Amino acid sequence: MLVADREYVAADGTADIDRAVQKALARASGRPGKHVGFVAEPAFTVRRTWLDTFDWRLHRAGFVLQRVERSRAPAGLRLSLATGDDVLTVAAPAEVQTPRVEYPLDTVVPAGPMRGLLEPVVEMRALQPVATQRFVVRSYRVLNDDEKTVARVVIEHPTSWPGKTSGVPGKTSTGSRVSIVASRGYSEEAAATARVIAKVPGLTPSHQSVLAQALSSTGRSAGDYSSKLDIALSRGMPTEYAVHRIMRALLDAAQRNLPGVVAGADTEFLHDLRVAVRRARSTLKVTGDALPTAQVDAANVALKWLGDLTTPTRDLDVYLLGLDELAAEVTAPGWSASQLGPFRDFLVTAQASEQSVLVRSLRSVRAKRAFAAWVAVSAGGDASAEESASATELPATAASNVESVANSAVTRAFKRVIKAGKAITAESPPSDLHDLRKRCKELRYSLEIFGSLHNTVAQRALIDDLKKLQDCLGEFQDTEVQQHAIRTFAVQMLAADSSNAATVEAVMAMGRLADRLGERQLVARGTFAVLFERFAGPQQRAHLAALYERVS
Amino acid sequence: MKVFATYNIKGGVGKTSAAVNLAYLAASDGHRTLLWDLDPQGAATFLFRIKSGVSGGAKGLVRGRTGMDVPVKATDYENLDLLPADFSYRNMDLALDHGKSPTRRFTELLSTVAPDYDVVFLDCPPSVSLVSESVLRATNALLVPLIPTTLAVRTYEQLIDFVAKSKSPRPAVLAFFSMVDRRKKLHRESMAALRDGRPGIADAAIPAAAVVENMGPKREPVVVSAPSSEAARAYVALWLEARGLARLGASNPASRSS
Repeated sequence: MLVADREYVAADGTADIDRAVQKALARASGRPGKHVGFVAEPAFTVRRTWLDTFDWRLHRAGFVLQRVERSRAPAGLRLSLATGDDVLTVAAPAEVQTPRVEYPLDTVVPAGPMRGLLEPVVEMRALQPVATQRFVVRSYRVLNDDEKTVARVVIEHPTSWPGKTSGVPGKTSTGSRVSIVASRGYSEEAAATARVIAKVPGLTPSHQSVLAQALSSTGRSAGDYSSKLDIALSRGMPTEYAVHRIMRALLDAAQRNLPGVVAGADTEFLHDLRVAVRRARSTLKVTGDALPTAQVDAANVALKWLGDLTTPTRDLDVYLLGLDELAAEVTAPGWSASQLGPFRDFLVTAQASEQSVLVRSLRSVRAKRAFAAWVAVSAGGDASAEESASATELPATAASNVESVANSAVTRAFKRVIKAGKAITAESPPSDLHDLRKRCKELRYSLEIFGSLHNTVAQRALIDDLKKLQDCLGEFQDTEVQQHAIRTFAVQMLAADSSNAATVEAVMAMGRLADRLGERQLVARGTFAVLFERFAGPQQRAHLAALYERVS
Repeated sequence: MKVFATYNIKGGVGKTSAAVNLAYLAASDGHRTLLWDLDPQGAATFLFRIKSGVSGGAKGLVRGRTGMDVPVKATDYENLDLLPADFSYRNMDLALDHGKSPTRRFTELLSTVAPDYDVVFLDCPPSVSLVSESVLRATNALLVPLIPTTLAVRTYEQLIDFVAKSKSPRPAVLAFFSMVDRRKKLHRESMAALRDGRPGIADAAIPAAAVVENMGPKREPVVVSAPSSEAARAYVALWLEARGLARLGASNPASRSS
């Protein structure tokens, strides 16, 4: 099936759009260049629930995924995926018939072409319902002289809609949508049908998708969350105001992820919460002078506690996320990833245990105090008043504007990266590379937090190369830590159950994983020199200079 | 992508009826399915209410001047498209013979639609030709309808011989009885004789039934127009066997019951 070629929406107060469409189709039947006839199909109801990841990955990829529950054959729950130029449909597996808060992809979409399209986009994220709407649907099959369906005219009446008073078709059609869906190979016939429908009084071409229309009733819009920072700062803004705004945006990101962290919906809620915490710590580090010391000190303590709190769960998430890929890289004779079963079980149990500790801590009084300290450096409830203040009305405490603070923070962070990187030799211990990784994170956060003050092209170029360096350092550090962790896990597993042959086999297999991690670490170490040389080269210095150029 | 072909050297044995019904069942399993009506008579095209004719004809398709996806039309059924018949298909042998590696050309053509379809059905014309040889190389499962007469054994053995002598890769073969009238002793005996010790004969057998003949006037698959008929049930059973032979999973196990 193809996607709707044309869509129209009924204007406010339009009465009985069904009858008007039916009349228009009847008038055109049998006329030269038009269809031969049409068949009205029985009306039915449909409940559409749109699914996406928390960070709108499907929306960003141009996909629209729905659970569609029809009252008429083919009845039951189906999944529909629109990919831009095509629509795939499959029946939903029985285990997801009941609406949920989150849907891991492999439990929602059965193995097959639809899951194949979704997997690389969704990755490790769960799907969540983003909007739901019930419709009464009437449709007309438009026929040619072989009585072949060449197009469908589908009218969907939302049963509750902003500004709509009745869900009964025929009473009022405000918000009703009329779509012309061409059968493949019959685009000319569908275009002719669309010309007939376009003349129906009260219909106007729709410029908003049905999802956007459904979301508007919830106060949301597609793409309204991204882990990427987009904080609007102006160059003359007092630093104090800017810090409040940054901390507020980061607090908002943390709070929006918190329910997903507590529910354990997917690993990325915790990841994004940790990133928000680290960005907030970094912000206070470079701009803390602009705020009262007591507030900053309290927030620093709170943020460190929040960050540390999340580390054990995140570490186990990372081991589990990378386990299959790592196991697939092992090529030893007689190797089988199935030998790792007890190790996977051990990690899953440990993760569940750390997750429950994390949830308890996040519900504790201390967590409430920690977030209160974060709120305090985010200007609490004064946001709107503050934002309306003129940038020229500098408060007495504001010693400088944010531009100078941002520029010196970025320059300082850049120089520290170069200095730490140049000090690394082939003999340097892993801790030196780890320190450099921390310096790189500081630079990255400064570039992202103050992104709106800087030249976008130069910023993107700097971040692109910095990211490659960070990935390399991340690989080096992760493989270092994981080799040690695997040994610790092996000891713990044997201590718990050394008489079990499967456990012993798993521990031996874990040794091969550790060997593979060692190989990867060597590769990362070898790549580091090349990437750092590039980053420390004249091109990046030119990008750094261009970063501060004023754009008229 | 899995390719099925309904084929027999003889005509009028139920190839098209099988192709139309099995393609519908594949689509209703949730597989994106394309039926290519290779028979210039265009019976499958007619049954889906689609007009025969492909711009550029057989030559255009074989030589790649017409993309395989261009002439494709949607049927009235979800997930099921049709590449229509064209009268020029009667000369497809000539078009194939004109190029290099003619028997591989079919496989190449089908690979161009692989991203869009999970299952392709080829409804073949009754002949032994370059087209048939090409089909054998491109097909995962060859479905062979046999009318249970004394000639059935001979027809079946000719076909097995033809497949064995064809160039590799060769398809798995599933023969099935078609137009069966169990009241006739000859049919019962012929079926027993052919099944005796021979692998590759389906348990499912399609009956000679008015509902199958009525596909012509109704222009619908039997599994749609008479879903609870014996013939429809036989097509469902045949599809399950064919699907297993091609190692094709039921991507959408709930769809048939919905």
